[in-house]
Amino acid sequence: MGKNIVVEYATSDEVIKTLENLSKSDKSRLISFAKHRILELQHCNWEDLLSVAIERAIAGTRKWPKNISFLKFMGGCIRSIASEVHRQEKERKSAGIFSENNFYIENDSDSEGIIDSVLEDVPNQEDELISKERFGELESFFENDEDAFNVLYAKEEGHSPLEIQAMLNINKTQYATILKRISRKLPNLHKKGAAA
Amino acid sequence: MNSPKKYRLLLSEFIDSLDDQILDSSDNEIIENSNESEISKFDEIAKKQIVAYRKNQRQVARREYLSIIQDATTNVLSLPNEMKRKLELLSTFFQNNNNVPTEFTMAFREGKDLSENDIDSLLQDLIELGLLNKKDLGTDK
Repeated sequence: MGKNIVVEYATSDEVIKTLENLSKSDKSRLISFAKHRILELQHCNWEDLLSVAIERAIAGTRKWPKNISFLKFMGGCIRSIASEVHRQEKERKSAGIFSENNFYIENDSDSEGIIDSVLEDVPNQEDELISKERFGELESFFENDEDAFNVLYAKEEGHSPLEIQAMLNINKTQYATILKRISRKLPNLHKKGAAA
Repeated sequence: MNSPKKYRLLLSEFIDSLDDQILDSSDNEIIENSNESEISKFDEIAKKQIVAYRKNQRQVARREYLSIIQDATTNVLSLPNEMKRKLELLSTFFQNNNNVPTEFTMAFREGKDLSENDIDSLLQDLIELGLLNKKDLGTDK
């Protein structure tokens, strides 16, 4: 006796209208999402990732369900596309055809973003090594920021937010502040000689 | 405590938590830390994609329009040149076809003073409805 839930999706024009009317803060949020995701990638910049996400949202190859916010939808798109790019980077690397400037993303087969691409993209040994190195880079970068370093280290160890707060004797607000600080400083991660 | 660490998943979850903080931050906080040149870049990216989409839509519409035009022109059959021949055609047609919509037969019967344009229009309507074909028109040009 279940109800059939009908999901209403935004049209391309509605997506365009939303994009055109985005507030400055929301544009910044989307930029942050893209900047965060390139941590997982080796040969991609935030502009390209964001560009593909916007393209697909407008074209409808990624459909925006109207019952979720545009930001959450775009965050999901960016996440999913980053995972797709990561998969392609791996494939091209193993085929020996990847070049520094070669950002190309193939046809999108997951139009509603329902499949959790991260889980589908089964990490291999190299993925694990690269991700571990990324944590190492982050920890080095934040070595002068004790709180940020500790949070990163605890994350790498697989601790949950509640566990981390208990371990570091911080509350939820303090924990959130640390993450925000990490997010703000991340763009400087790969600048030469940079530290947080 | 932990099973073998899965760094890729942990990294992804860490990024998820960063995203969540961005969503939870106030607009003022976000704006305080925003970068004007990046905002401009965002606008540029969005505009480029919107323009590309609209251009693509116009091209699709144009292709559809041209396809319709092409279909229409291939269905235009050559009508006879002479008025007499055209009237003969219509007359023969109405005599041989009982199921023609009445508005056509009335237009013909009542239209003794029909202009050539009117006659041509009637013939074209019958062609478009599939009631007259090349064979009916003969080989006259």
